[in-house]
This record gives sequence, structure tokens and C-alpha cells, in this order.
Amino acid sequence: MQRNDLLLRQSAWMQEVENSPVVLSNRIRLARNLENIPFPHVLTAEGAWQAEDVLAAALQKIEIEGDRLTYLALNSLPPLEVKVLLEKHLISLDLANAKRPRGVALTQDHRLAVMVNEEDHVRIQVLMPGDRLTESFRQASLVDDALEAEVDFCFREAQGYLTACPTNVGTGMRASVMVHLPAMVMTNQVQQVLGTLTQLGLTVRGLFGEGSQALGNIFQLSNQITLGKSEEDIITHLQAVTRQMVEIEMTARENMRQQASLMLEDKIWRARGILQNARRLSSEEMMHFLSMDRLGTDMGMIPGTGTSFTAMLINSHPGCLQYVLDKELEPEQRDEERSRIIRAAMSEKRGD
Amino acid sequence: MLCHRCGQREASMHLIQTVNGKTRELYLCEQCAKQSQEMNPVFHPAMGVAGLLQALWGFNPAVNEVQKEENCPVCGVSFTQITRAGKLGCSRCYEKFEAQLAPVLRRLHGGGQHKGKIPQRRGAVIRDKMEIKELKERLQALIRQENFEEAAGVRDQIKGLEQTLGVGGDANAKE
Ligand SMILES: [Zn+2]
Ligand SMILES: [Zn+2]
Repeated sequence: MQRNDLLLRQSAWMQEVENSPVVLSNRIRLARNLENIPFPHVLTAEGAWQAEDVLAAALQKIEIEGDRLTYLALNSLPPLEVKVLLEKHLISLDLANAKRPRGVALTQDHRLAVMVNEEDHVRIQVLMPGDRLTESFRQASLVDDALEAEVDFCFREAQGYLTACPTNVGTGMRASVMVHLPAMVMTNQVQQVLGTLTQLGLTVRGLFGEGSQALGNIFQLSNQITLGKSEEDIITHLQAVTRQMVEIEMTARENMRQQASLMLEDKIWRARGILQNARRLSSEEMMHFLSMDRLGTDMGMIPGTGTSFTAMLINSHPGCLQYVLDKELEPEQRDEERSRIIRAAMSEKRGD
Repeated sequence: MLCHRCGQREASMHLIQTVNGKTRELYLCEQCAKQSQEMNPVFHPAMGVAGLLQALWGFNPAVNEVQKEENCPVCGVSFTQITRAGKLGCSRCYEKFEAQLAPVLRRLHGGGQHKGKIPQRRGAVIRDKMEIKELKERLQALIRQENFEEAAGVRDQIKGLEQTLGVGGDANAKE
């Protein structure tokens, strides 16, 4: 029952932030490994179990602003709950699919989600709304210190924190922002602009990470280089590029307003109409129309709704939907229930 | 892999796109990717980390010269296995396969040593060493400026740190 409560809670990172029309959320991830035992992918089941024991015990001692961590061992979790964790971005696909002993420690507000026995023994994640990466890093670093007081992490002077994959060695840090770029997509600029980011040492992915599609016009930007640059440098660089991205998106929005305002208004009002009235909505439709609706709200073309864009987007995914309703749903039933949830959310007026 | 569009150049980009609810995967070369006007692409730096590593290691002639059957003494993983998995087996692998790893780290991160956070507890020694290094640089600068008064203070600071570190342990013993 307690676990149910924890999973159903609203994740902090999905909250709306004032004055952040493009940057939806940010994440800091620190990869750490225990000294003297192999990395998870070559660990025996027994070894993985021991690592999990040690880490789960250390994690449950940690308190962040009065919020204690709860450890969930994925091996004893029903598949639907694993799916909910995945959809809410609290665990990775790798962790969800792994068979070895593994888990995640969460705070009540899900701002902190520490994965155990993913590709590395420890993956500290801080997920927050808006773009304050520096604050997220501060919190992740505190958790890192608290853990390091209990266990020994692999660290070498020249190579920094050692990780299973050489792409993470050094700081072990992946900083990322989730951005909503509908106008750049609509004006065909997104491919060109995002394509140049690789040359700037950044990676671009869709809403659900590597290999996922850019549904809902949402993209995740993150640093590629982890060795030879300090955490501050990495964050500063990502923020500078993100600011440019925001500027391009905002310019594209204004250009559309001036040059194609009727087309834009029509698209946005249609989206609102469908979200408020449809009796069946597929995931893809939902994400597309929510993206248009959010654009319209940001541009002041339609009144805002009471609920958060990101929360609606995430909570109407199959796993979350079935978990909230506490029943298994056939795909068609999902579309029906999804439309019901969205209709309810869209009819709430902001401030009422 | 050859580009799906022109079939001539090596593909360097992986695109996933949705057209009418159907997902298509495309591997394109840089030129074709630029020309492509399709909506909602997501770029991947390469075809997954393992692919990237294989590509990188494939370019590295050292791989073929090294006796492939040597294994890491701690985790027992061979270099061939590392290449296949795209992952090292344990922290010792970093030392064991240092030579093969160096060009990969250079390609991935542009070379350079770790900068940034040092572990709070276990890194105390490293932090002290780095501070000593910085102080020594400052000392040299002060001497060049003939600011001997301040230099003396910095020198004492260095001595103090070196003592806590146990650098020149016999000097400690004499006192
Ligand atoms: Zn081509
Ligand atoms: Zn090893």
C-alpha cells in the first residue's frame, strides 16, 4: 500500500514552472561504481545481490530536506509497476529490462531516483522542473557524498570516476534538459539546428531516451563528453546551448504568429477541440495535440488549463493509465480511458 | 553500413521517424541527412555505444597486435569481450587495457585528464596533492615578483600540507 502511494505521487519534475515555455525539465545523472567488485554486467547473481544489499542499506540512511529514500527492489516488483517507473523517467530501459538483482531508491517527490545495478553500480539521478541544472547538481553531489561516506567508489586521479562504459568516465555526469520545440519542427528547422549540436559535443534524443521518437515535439539535450571537463563547465556549456535553442524556438513562434497566424490559430484550436471532445485518443495523437495546445497556451492564443503539460503527457501513457485505474486495459480501452482523463484535465480552468 | 538513401556513402546518422503512425528507421550519410526534409527526426551520434566503440576500436591498429586472449586478472574479461559489449568489466580493466583504451578515450572525450569532482572522503589525499601543486605554482610566481614575505607564508602552507600527507615520511620521523 505504501509503495502504491509512492508510485502514484506526482513527480516534482513534471510540475509547471513560471516563465519557462521551452525548457520543461532538467536532469543530472552521476555514475558511480563500487571498488573491488566487477561492474554489474559481469557480476554473478550473488555478487549483484551483495552489491544491492550494501547499496540499499546505505541509500535508506540518506535524507534530503527531510525526505527519506525508499528502496524498491525491481526483482520483486510487478511488471506494471516497473513500467510506471520507466514511463515516469525514474528508471532507465536498461534497468527495467535487466534480470540481475537491481532496484531504485526514491524520495517521496521523485526528485531523487538512485538506480542500483544498472550499467554502473550506482546511478544517482536528480530530476527537476525548469532549467536549474546547477541546483540539481548540488543535490546529486550531496547524495554522492552521503553514499561515499559509507562505501568506496572507483576513482583515479587521471581518469576520474571509473564507469562500465568509457563514454561516462571522468565526472560520470550526464546533464540533460528536456525542451519543447514545436515551432522549430513546424518550420522545418529542427533537423538542421539539432544536427549541429553533435559538433558541439551534445546528444539529442526523444522523450523516452535513446532510440525513441521525438513525439510531442519534445527533445532531450545532453552532454556527450565527461572526461577533461568539470561538472560546472559541462553545465555552463549545456545551458548556453539551451538558451540559444530557446531563442531560435521563440523566434520561430513569433515568425509563425506574424506570417501564418490563421494557420497556427486553426491548428491550436483544433487541438484543443479534440482534446476536450474526443472519445478515443491514441498515444501519438495525444502527444501531438497536447504539444499544439501547449504552444497555444504559451503564445497566449488560448486560455491555459489547470494541469501540467508534462504530467498529462506522462500520466496518460499505458502503464500509468492502467496503474491509476488499477485494471488491465486492451489498447482500444486505453485510448478510451486516455481520452477520458485528458477531457477531465482540459476542462479544469486555471485559477478556478 | 551504407546510406539507405544514396547507397554510396557510409551512413553516419540514425534517424527514426513516424509517418502516419508507422515508425521507420533510416541510416543516412551526412549529406543525405541534411537534404532530408522529413519531420520529427531524432539524431543519434552513432548506432549505439557498442557500435561506436567497435568502430573506434576497429580503427585502432593496436587491437590486432595485442594478444587478444589476455584477460583482466580481477574480472577475467578479455579485450575482445570488452569490445563486443562496449563495456569494461571492472576498475582494473582500465589499467590492464590502458594502452588500447587511450585512443578510445581520446576519440570520445578529446583527450585530457579528469577535471571536476573528487570524492569527499577518499579523495582527501588527491585534493591535498592538487592544492600543493597549485600552491607551488603560486610560490614560484611570488618569488619571481620578489614578494618574499608572502612567499614565505605559502611555503609554510605547502610544508604543512606535505606533512599531513606524509610526503617525505622520513622527514616526519626526524622531527
Ligand atoms: Zn547518402
Ligand atoms: Zn576487469
